[in-house]
Amino acid sequence: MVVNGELQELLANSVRRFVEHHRSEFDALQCADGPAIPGILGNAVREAGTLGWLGALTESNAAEEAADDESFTRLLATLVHGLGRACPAFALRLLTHHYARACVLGAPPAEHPLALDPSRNEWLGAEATLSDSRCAPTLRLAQLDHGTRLSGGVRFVVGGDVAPLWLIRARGVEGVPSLVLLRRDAALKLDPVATLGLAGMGAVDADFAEPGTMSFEVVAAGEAVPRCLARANRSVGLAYLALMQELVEQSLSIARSHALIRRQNGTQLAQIPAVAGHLRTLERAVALLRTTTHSYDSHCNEAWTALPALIHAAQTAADGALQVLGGAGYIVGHGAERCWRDVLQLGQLFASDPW
Amino acid sequence: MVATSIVGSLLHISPYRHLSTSTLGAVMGWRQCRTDEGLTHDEKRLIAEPLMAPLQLPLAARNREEMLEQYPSLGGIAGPFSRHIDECLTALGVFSEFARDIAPYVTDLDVLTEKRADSALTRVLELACRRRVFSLAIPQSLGGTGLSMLALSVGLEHLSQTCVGIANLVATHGLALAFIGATGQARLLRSIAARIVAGERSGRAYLLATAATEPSAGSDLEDFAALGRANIESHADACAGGYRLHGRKIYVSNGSIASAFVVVMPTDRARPRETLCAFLAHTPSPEITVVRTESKLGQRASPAAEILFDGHYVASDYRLNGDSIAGRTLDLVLGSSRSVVGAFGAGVAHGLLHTAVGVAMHSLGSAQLVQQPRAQAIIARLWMNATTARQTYLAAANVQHRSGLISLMETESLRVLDRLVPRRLSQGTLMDRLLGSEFIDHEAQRLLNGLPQRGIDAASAFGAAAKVQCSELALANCDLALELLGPVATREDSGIPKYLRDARLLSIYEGTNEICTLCIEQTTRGRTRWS
Repeated sequence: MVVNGELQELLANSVRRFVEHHRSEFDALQCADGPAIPGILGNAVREAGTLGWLGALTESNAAEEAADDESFTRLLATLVHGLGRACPAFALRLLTHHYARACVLGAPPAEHPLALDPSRNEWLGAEATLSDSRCAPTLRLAQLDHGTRLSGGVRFVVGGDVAPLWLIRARGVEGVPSLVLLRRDAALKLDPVATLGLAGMGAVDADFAEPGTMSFEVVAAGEAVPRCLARANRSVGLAYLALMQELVEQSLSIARSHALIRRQNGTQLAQIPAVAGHLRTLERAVALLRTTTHSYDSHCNEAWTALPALIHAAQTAADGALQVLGGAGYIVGHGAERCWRDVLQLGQLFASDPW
Repeated sequence: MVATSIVGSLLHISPYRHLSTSTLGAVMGWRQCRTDEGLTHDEKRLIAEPLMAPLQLPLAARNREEMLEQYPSLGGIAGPFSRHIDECLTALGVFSEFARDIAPYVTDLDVLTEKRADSALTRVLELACRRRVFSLAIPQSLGGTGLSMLALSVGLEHLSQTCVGIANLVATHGLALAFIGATGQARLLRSIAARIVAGERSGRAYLLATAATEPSAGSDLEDFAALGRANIESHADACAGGYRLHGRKIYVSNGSIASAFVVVMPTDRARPRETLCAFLAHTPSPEITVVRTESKLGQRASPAAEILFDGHYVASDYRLNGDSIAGRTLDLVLGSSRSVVGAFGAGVAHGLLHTAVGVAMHSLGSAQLVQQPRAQAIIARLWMNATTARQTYLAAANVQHRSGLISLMETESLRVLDRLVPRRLSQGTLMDRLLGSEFIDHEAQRLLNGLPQRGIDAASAFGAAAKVQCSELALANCDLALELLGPVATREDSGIPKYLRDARLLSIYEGTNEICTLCIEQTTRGRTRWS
């Protein structure tokens, strides 16, 4: 796989500048209430669009091809990894956007009334349970004389507070599972969803009391749905692992510096066998994630097959970091507890072990 | 097959006894059944409002048969007709009523801003006084309910299913009482008991807290073998008629609401192992400052504060111990308190079982989920972990009764006497004179000194093992709940994240699991830790 190293470096620099510019907003995100988040993130959301981060990232003219491009997966991973350091929730928003975008682009060609227009720099949100067979869609497509309409509601749309376009699931006519791209009405009432981690990811619920006011299209239905989702997984899988890797690296860094500075009964914490054991677990998890991301090949299923084990390793590591920190790590605002929550949260989103 | 059988049997065990069918679908009927039981408006709102309202927890046992169904190992521990079963029933009755009382405030305490949480906490304390929760362990002759530690553990496990933070608030108070008891301060214990009982009557809780951890010494105090090298910065200076306490204590549970502190400090910083003492310090005092209340990841109902002791004077009478408390005394206290943390773990494990199954049934929009073999296997494992945790802490509590600190109060003759002697007689002038004499302290200390070391070691090891095992089982159930429910389990309105956050502290406080493992290892090698 060949990645344009120069392009990757440029992107990494761009991310660094972006993070520096929006640091205060990202910090404010940690303790912001759901409804306040779109206001806080307004500038960052717009700037990400103007930087071209919502599009193909590569120089490919054909957006449909770009999503399958190895260069794209590497560049997206660079982007998400860099953003993850400053604001994992914002990184997840971008990941979600590209996940939804890959789904839509991977759908069978059709007349798309909501065709994705790169020039509009529009964000996409996606239902967190898109590929999760454990929960049934709460939205229904009803066939009426004058067309199809949506009824019910959607749950847990990541990035839904800001994104005008949502990729959601619906039970179609005769119960056929469908993926629906919806342009949400600005007047649609959104209920922010409080989550364990990744505060600021903009998860919302919404009920469609007046479905007629919103335009939507069925992106895929029936057997095409798993194909679309699989393609999206391939497209953003590396970025997902890169974000997880970043979180575990943060956990290791926090735990290691605490263990080196702190002494217990005269002994450096890092020298205590139990603590050293936790640090080794963290190092192993980081090594495992780095090795996997390094050798990641989006056309090979091996990394995807290993994903549950990788997530488990990451969660065990974040847990160990919290244990090394003890009471200090349990205080809100400490990096260790935030990483622990974020790792647990990320492990359950999109790429979680499907049933 | 086995998993299906266990899931099926879940419906036949006592908490689900009123279900009419033998499928998991019946759990929905159970919820309906509970909502008809005269819930308050707030309770109904709590159940009805969120998208994924957690189920109410199962009914507590109401008679001996149900008790033995839900806690089968109690039969072996206590004997089927023992008074322990009756006491467990009393504790369950009190704590299940209390859990219902506090249900509307649990979310407030967990997620709201400090100011609103404070008002919820005030209400919870009033409700605790109304149920006389803080005097449950105090002998009847002193105005309490006189419940055994086994019974309290069972009750606290039940309360933990609703809110571990509030269970910890109650248990922290008990820990300080255990400290006073373990130092043989019978007269002081009597006077504190009177204040606690009076506080409950007035509706203003007289709460105790223990201040031990320091910024530079976290688990240092609990590793007795290495205590000599601990970086303890606090110290108690001897002065005319008493001591002055200096130093900063952190993570003091109940710190911001306590009426009195058991403060652990050495009288000589250079020799903490030989001079570690416990003092009783009353608030308010200008020399005791609540520096701040920590914002914690979980168990927020139990406020953890940083307390500054700035030369606070304590009279000699309030020095609890003679020799250092490091070793034998701390072992006695921690053995029993760690066993209670085990009960918390069992409570969380049970709470997760019921909540996860409830969410799977109600909220995922897929009634078929619980019919899937993988889901059934997960539910079976949730149940196994919860049941194992319960058996583990019950076994540890039993050892405490036989050879730990509690064994002193568990002699049958003493218990009978406590029940038979009318309270007014125990507070009569003669009795007052007897119980207020130094003789009673000497006698208590003689009994404490007479406890065989082997028994203390066993109680300490069992307590530590229960804490480690039950907290790990609770965390295992956290993982299983996530596996069962996926992303839905990370939504706060599913009720699961509160358990995840609360459970994470169980392996940290009261000596980290690593320290507890060290303690068990040293005991199993037959080495007394402080020798």
